[in-house]
Amino acid sequence: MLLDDLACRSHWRGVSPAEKLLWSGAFLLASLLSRHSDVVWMLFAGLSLWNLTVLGHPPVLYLRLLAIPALFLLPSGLVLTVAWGETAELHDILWQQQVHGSWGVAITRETLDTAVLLVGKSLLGFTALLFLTLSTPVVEMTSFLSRHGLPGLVTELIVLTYRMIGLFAATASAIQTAQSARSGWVSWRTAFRSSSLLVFNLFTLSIHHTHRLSRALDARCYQGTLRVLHRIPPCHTVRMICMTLICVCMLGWVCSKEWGHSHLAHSHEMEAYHD
Amino acid sequence: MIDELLRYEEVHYSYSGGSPALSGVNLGITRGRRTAILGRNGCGKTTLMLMGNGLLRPQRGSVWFDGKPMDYSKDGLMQVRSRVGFIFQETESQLFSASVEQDVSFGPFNLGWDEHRVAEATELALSQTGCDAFRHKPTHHLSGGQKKRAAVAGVVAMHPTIILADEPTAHLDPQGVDDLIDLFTTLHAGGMTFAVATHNLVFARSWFDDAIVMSEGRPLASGPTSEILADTNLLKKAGLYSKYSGE
Repeated sequence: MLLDDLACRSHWRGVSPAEKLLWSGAFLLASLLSRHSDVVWMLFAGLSLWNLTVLGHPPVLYLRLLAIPALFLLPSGLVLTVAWGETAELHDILWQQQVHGSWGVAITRETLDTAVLLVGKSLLGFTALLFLTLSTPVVEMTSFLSRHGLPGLVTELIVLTYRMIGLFAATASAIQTAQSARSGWVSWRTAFRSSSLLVFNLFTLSIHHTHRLSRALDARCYQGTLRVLHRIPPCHTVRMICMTLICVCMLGWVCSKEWGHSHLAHSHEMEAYHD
Repeated sequence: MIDELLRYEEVHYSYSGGSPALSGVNLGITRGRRTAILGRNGCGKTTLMLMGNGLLRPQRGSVWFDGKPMDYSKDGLMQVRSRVGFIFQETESQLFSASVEQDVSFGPFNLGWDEHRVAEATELALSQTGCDAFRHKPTHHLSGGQKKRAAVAGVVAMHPTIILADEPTAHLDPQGVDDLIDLFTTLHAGGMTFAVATHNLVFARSWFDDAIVMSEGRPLASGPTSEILADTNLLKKAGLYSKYSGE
């Protein structure tokens, strides 16, 4: 809901979802194609700067959103930096600690590069999706997808789930406030009891909501399909062309870097073989 | 001869495991008039309203719409619901869609109208009900008054003959109530019949032509609002009298 609220206030709300999908998709593709951490981190920094300047959201909030995946990625990255095995067989060791005989743990240039690359790729992918999420409200995205061949049943499920999340968030917040007002969350014990009651009440209320919603739909001649008007912001041709060019250039640059590195590595291998 | 748009004849209804909600109701809603259905909580007002839209079916007796007994087949219900608009007390459950405009367009699409006609009807309903300013807003971002307006717009877009509204002033502040009454007045001026369940006697006194007082599942009295609300004994008997409000 927070993301959707931000999307509704975004400076890019009026931009066509097609343009935003292109932009987001190009960066996602770049994160998949690129195998060099310098490229990945450069793209991540560029896209983050773009998101901060173009979308108009508070930087602190944006950083908080980025912190969520970072919280999972950084420990995983740390684990990836450490190699375990016979230290004599490891190359480019930056740090090592013998544990038993010749066996030990070490940080090598290769493990460090792998960790930095994987964390960077994940963050770049997340940032690309964040751009889309923070600039396109669910209602516009479902309209766009519906117009472009997504089955009606899937769109209806998305819309109803989205509406229900809003209802449940409001209901859960009201129940929690009512419980807090009667000291329901003052200790672990009461908090546990209150949360179980909250979940139970939400379950009961969800059944009531479903019943009422079904009745309300019937009152307006519901016939099995939730057909509604779809308004999608129009595509701006010049901007679309510019964005396409930028995306193509960016992907071309990523591919050339990739090809250049592979070619260089192959040449080194060949030289070593001849020597 | 009185032209009754909606007629209830000897209507009985009980919810499963509960006491009777309606027991032998005989009453009519006159075409072109504004009728208040008054009564305390649990007196059967909502059940009566739901029957008017065919959402509930009498266990005994019959409901008549526009001179014909209600047909509960799929096509019959479609006919009735296309002409009888229903505004629920809990607007939260009435608004299902992600944005106001989408929600308003839902009813007209169900009537089989083409997209152009739906867009026109939606546009008109949004402007008539003052929803233009928040038409693209997600429904969960609306205030109570805005939700009520959006719910009314969703019904108005279907061009009904009669609007049944269940406690429409509930959860609204005085300004919200005034706005809603202004909106209803505009719609009534356009020829719309209204039947509104309420226990807000100030609203009833100021706006309605006729009143029906309900108690324990049956009507106690009906007639012009001024006469009904002047009868203190009747109001006391129906549980509508408050020594604090002076009603």
